[in-house]
Amino acid sequence: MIWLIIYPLLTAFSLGIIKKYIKQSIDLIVISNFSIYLIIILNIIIKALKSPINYQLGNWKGSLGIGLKLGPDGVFMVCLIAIISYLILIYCSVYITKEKVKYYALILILVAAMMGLVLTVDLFNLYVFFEMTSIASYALAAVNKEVDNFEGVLKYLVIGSFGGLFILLAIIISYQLTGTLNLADLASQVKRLSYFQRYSIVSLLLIGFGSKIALVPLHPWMPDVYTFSNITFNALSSALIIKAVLYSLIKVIYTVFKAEFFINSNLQLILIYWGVITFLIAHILAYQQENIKRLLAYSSIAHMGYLIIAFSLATEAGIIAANFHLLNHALMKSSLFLISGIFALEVNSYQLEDWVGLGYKLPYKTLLFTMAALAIIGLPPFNGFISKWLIVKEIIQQGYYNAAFLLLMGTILSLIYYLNLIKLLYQKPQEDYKITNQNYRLTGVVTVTTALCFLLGLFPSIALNLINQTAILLGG
Amino acid sequence: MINPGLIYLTGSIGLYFIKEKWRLGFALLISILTVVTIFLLPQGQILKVPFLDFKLILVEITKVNQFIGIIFIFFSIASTIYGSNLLSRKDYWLSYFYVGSSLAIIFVGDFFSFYICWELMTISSYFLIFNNKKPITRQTSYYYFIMHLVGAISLLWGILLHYNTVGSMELTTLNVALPFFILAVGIKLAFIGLHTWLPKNYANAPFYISVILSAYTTKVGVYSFYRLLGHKQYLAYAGIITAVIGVLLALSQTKVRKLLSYHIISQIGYMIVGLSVGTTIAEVGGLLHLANNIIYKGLLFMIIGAVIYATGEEDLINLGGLAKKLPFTTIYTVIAAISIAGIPFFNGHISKLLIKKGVTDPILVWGMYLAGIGTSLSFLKITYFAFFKKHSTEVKIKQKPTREMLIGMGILATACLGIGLNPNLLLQILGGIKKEVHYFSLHYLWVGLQPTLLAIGLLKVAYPFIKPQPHQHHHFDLYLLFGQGIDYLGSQLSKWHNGDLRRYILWILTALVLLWGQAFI
Repeated sequence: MIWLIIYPLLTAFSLGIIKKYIKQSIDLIVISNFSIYLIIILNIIIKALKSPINYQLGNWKGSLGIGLKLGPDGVFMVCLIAIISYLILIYCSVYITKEKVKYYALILILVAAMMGLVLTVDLFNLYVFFEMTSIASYALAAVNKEVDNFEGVLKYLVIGSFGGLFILLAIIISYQLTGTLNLADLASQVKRLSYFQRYSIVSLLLIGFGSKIALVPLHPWMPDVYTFSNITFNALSSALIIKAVLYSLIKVIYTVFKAEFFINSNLQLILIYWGVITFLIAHILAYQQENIKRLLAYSSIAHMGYLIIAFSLATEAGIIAANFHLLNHALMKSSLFLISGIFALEVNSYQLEDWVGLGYKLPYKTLLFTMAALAIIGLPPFNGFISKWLIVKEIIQQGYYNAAFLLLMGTILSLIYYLNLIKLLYQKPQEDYKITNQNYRLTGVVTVTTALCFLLGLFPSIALNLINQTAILLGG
Repeated sequence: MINPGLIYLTGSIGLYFIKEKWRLGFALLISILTVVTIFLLPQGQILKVPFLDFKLILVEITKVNQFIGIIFIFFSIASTIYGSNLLSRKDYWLSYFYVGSSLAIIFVGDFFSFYICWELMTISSYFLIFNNKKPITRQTSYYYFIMHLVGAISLLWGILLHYNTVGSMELTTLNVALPFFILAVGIKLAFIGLHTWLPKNYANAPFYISVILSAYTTKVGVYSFYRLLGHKQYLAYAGIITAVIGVLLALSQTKVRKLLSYHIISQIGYMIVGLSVGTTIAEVGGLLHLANNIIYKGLLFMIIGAVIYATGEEDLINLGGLAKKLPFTTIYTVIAAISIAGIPFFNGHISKLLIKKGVTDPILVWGMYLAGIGTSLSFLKITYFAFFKKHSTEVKIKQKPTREMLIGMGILATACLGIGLNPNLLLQILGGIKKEVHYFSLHYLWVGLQPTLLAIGLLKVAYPFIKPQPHQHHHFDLYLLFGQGIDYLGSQLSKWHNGDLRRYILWILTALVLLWGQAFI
């Protein structure tokens, strides 16, 4: 199972050597390598679905060693990371023109780190993988070496490091108090701690992870970084990085501190309203943006608000709904970002004012964009609606009527700005236009992601069968 | 077993790909196929499909939805023929998609699919209205979508509350979360106060599109009113207010399609009254009025469309003396105007009579009387000023209305007469009325004629008011203020994000303090 993490790392490191000798077919090598990786993953998850796989690195027993675990609950996240990053890699093979090898290597390292985040059962390794994810993403954001970009990346780095600092602090405190860092051991030890101690650890973790997943007062790095970085990084970040971080946060909180602590302290209430504030503010801010990347960044922040609400309900249905929305948002956001990338190839700008009339130059992609936008607003018959329905239903069931109502209001707010986009795209341009065609690989990738949005809207049970397993998170 | 709407929905995709010369034929084929399906489907049959943790009822055949379904398809045929020369590929398939979703919505039997069709309607009609030939529709359709989404969200919230308390998704009349359902349905059927989207869009879209739009959105609203909110006495008063104010607003308009838009609102008031007083005869009247209104209001929209096509004008100020130039159109106008005014032997008479028979409350009776006079007055206005009165400068005819337009109008005009003379033609689908009503007895003839005769009498007094004259439009719209509010809020929030890293770190620390501080409480 260790291959889940090692394989992409090996590929990444050997890329440097391969580059020396073979310059031509680097795309082919990376993609075929990743295809093999997918087969390995498939092999492992089939085993994991039958019974959870435990792996002790170097056979160090107990709490000393580094442990990895893949149960049926983790399978969903592993699949998501593998599939989306595969699609984005294919997209990159056409889209990235300079520093391509570095870009590939960084993406592969990122994949390894995210896999680690999902698999690890050890708090310290969690931190290691967390930092690995962060560093890989800082580097990915800055790899194009544009001067404008550095300011945003600096913010990203500083805020991210602050977050990392708090997480480290939380880990130090819990090690000091319990003497172990293994999540399962921690879970049994943590009962001895006082309420205040437990609460402190959780709040440090929340702020630390929260700065990475951009909950509202911790969010400002996101739009700034996105504005100048490559669009494929934006897609990766919105679709996977923040999701993997959020998932590991939820894993830690529910395995170590249990749902009871979460509900009995007022943390649940706080997180739910934190989520509400997050999406309301993010939606209102998104409405103001004139750059598509910033707009989508704020929209991502808003959806993290939805997710944190659903996760903090601490019920099985809530976790399932949240994971389904996580999947849907990953699909929808990556389609939106990737199609925006294609648009930008055509008009060479991410400013909305330059996008007028693209619907006539790139009719097929605009159709896909419109579908993805309708999905992300949460309109039927797309997947966004189904997961929103599940989330709101569960929130109501738990009695948080205000939050549920505001969540639906958020839908209206998001319509206001996404519809503006659609309106703009379908405005007939003044000058002559001709239909342009682009590389079939770009088109293929966005077709797959958007088609999945539509399919999951009609047949949600395809994904829900797998996602139902994630409810174990709560009890495990 | 298939939902008739589904035939339309899948057919619409076919319409997108089919060659231009086959398009009309294919469209008509879809319609006919659907009618046949509706007749073949046995009443009381139900199709259930499991979905998530409940069951979707995709088809549920009752008398009422068969009745409305047939009218919908009938109108779809007429309007497609009418616009066949003008509709582009996009218009064709979107209009079929739109009609398909409104057909689907009346045949489904659970809230979830109801909501999905509801949204499909909104989405498809948005793209239908959005038209680059008329740049103003970009704004109006935006307004339309947002307003309808507010309604849809309100419906969704109502559904969720209903599901949470009742635990069943079946479509029934409601007792829980009523205000939300009323808001949702109210926006769809354009209650006065929630109607602002209607005149804006129907008067600005291309005329062949407003013909299609005029029939479905609001009527689906009426149907959902019947399904969800029927038999609630107090809503009848809302209906009568809508009827009267709608007519008053209509009277002051000079743009014909705007005038007709307000008439849609007013006529819907009648239907609400019929459906909410609680007597069977009024309910049948309300449903029949729905059908009649689709027919004659659609006809009126077609007529003004033909006038726009011929002259390029739709303002009564600039029109006049068309009777000689467009003889067929004039005949149709007279038929439609007589029908809507409720004069005997035309269809409006029948349904208005049935509603009147079912209503006893004096306020409602007088309200309908008043609205009736207003209706007659405003259609006297249209026929007189557009067709019979000579205009000071001669109105030029650029092109004659096409043959297809005349056929489309002819179909509807025939229907007006047919239903007027033999109401059982339609009523038998609804199961007929138990008590025999003599529509053409002297008493009822007198009742039917009264408002129009009064209107003619009043014409002298009212003339200065209804005479088309240039007037100031005042654009006050409460709902636009909401938009400005959000705009302002957004710009204030944006100002906070000035890019200063120290400020952001301060935010993080503040969040930490706030969160940690909770531990001490």
